Amino acid sequence: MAKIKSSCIETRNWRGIKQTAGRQAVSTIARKRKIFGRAKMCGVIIIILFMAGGIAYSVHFFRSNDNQIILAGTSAPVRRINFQSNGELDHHWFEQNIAWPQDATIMEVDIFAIKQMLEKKGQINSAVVSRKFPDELHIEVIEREPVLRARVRRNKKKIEEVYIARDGTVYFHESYKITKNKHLPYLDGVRFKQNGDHIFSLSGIEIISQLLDLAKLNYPNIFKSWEVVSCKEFDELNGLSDEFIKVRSSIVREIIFAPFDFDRQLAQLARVIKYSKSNDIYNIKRIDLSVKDEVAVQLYRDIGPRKFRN
Amino acid sequence: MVGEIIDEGRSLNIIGMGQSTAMGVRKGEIIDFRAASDCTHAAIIAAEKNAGAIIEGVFLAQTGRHLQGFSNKGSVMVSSPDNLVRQSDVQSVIENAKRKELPPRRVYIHHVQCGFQLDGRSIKDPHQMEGDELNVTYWHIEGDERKVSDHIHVINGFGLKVEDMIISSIASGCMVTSEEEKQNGVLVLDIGCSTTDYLLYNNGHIVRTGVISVGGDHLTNDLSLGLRVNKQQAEKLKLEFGKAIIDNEDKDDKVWLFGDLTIGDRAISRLAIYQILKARIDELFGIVKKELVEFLNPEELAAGVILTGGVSRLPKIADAASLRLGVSTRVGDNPSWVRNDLRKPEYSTVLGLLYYGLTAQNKEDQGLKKSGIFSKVANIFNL
Repeated sequence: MAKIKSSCIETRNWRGIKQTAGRQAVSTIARKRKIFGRAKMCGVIIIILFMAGGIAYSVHFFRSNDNQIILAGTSAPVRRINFQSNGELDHHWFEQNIAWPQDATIMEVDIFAIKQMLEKKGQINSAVVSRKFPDELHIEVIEREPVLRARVRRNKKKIEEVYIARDGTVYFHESYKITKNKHLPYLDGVRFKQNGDHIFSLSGIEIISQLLDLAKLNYPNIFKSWEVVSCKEFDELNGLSDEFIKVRSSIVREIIFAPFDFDRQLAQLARVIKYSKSNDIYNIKRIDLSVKDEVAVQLYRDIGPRKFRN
Repeated sequence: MVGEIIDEGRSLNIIGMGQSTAMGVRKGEIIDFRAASDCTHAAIIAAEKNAGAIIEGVFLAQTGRHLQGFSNKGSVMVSSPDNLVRQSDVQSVIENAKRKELPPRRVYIHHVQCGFQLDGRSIKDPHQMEGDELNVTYWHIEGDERKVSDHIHVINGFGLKVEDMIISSIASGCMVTSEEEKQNGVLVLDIGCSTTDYLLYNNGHIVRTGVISVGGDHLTNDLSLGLRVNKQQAEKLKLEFGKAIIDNEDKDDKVWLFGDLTIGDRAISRLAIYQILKARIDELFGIVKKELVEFLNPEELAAGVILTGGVSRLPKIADAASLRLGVSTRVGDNPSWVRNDLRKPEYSTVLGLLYYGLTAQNKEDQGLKKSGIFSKVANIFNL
């Protein structure tokens, strides 16, 4: 190829022509492209400004919060324990029963160990232990609610009362007041399996607690008269083929429930009791509600002094 | 056509192409600025989309009857006492050759060096050679300032800058000729849409360039008038049935205008098509012969004539040129490194422009690339 030179020596070269675009030279397409290009450039500038602003703010934030972070890092000895419970347990109980290093700083306290200690207590369903800087320990526990009680021999020594929660957990109480559970029926017909202080959970209590809850809610007077709930013939607990829940109350010696359709059975029971009271019938021995659409009522032969006490 | 210079300016990738129907341009000159801007910008947008890249600069091909060339010789006496040619001698002889005043409203487009002579001997590089008188001949190409600036401003209207300008014939000529042909003497005829650009090489140098205002459009127009068909139909007849000479084998045949027997469809004699095309082709080569009569002999043009441009696809055009010009003629091929679909003769000029862009890039060592932190940031975001 021959040598081609576009020299700039002379002024009268095409390169001397001013490269500018008049308004007429800019087509619609070019104008749109130009606007789009400028918008793109503005977008990029805005993004860069935002990024720069973000970096500047972050630097400023970390510099101004340096001291605060250092202070939070040095923990003080625990001065206050904030104990909260939805039941009977209180701060005093915590101080008496849970061992924790009193002179430790907030960071030295093993909050997981405290949580484990709390949750080992049968009365406590769950516990949350947290640090509140600089010197406070925050403990929140949720207690189990008993639906039945029983009496068992603790460690082959004295007989003590145990409580059965809705989930079947059986536990020795920590600090129930005597009056709190005086209307709670006793559970009968169950053999508890024990390992030292620990009693194994029972299965099937959910069904019984449904019956008790319904009775307590809708027929509180009838529920108050219930003294013993027997599960001798309840399949879930004992694996027997007959499925009956038997209740002994202060006015009827034996009330027999089938383990389903408690609403109907309780309504029938209420009607029978109401009828018997209104007709001065006080010698009821047994009410069998387990037969569908029928209620079998058995009376004592003699109408004697055991009207309400069976 | 969009090219990407890679490997630090050593090679070029053709990455896209955009086409648009030419409007507002006649015989290489802008007659409707808005229409020319619209179609050029549409082609640039299409090329950018096709390439998936933003075009950074433009190499612009220039043609038109307003372009004229002339030869000018510079001469200096060797200044050193030992008669050895120094750099300063070469510099001053070049300046001497280029220092020719142009008439008002005319600007230089190119200065093409045609070789040095030292005491009458043709030499390639005179540095450190002994002699008394150093001469250099330049072929200067100049054009009308307003017409050139119109072309530049169309590109500027898109927000782009013309990085360099090159004569169409030089661009296409460097694609279809070999170094050996240039050395032996070759004439390149780039027959385009509305003009025919010619370029004459001898002894490896460009010795003559020029533009003739006859092109493919004239053939179409002649057919349209001669056969009483519209321009689209004439273009179709030219492309499908046209020949540059009267072919005795099928001259008695007839061809159908549409070929689907619809209203307006009619049979047209092939002979009529051939006669119309031959007349115009003869006229074109006649003008070429008249302009280059002193070069059209086997001694000056040992490598013959090479045809390129869209019209060179017309069957038998090389035979017609050979008969009229009296020297062997062939249709040129674009280089084999170009993709097959871009090897058509109508792409010779744009390929030549890209080739020129690559060599300019090498020469300037990426001088075209914008520098500075803002350009780098803009490049990251493809702005």
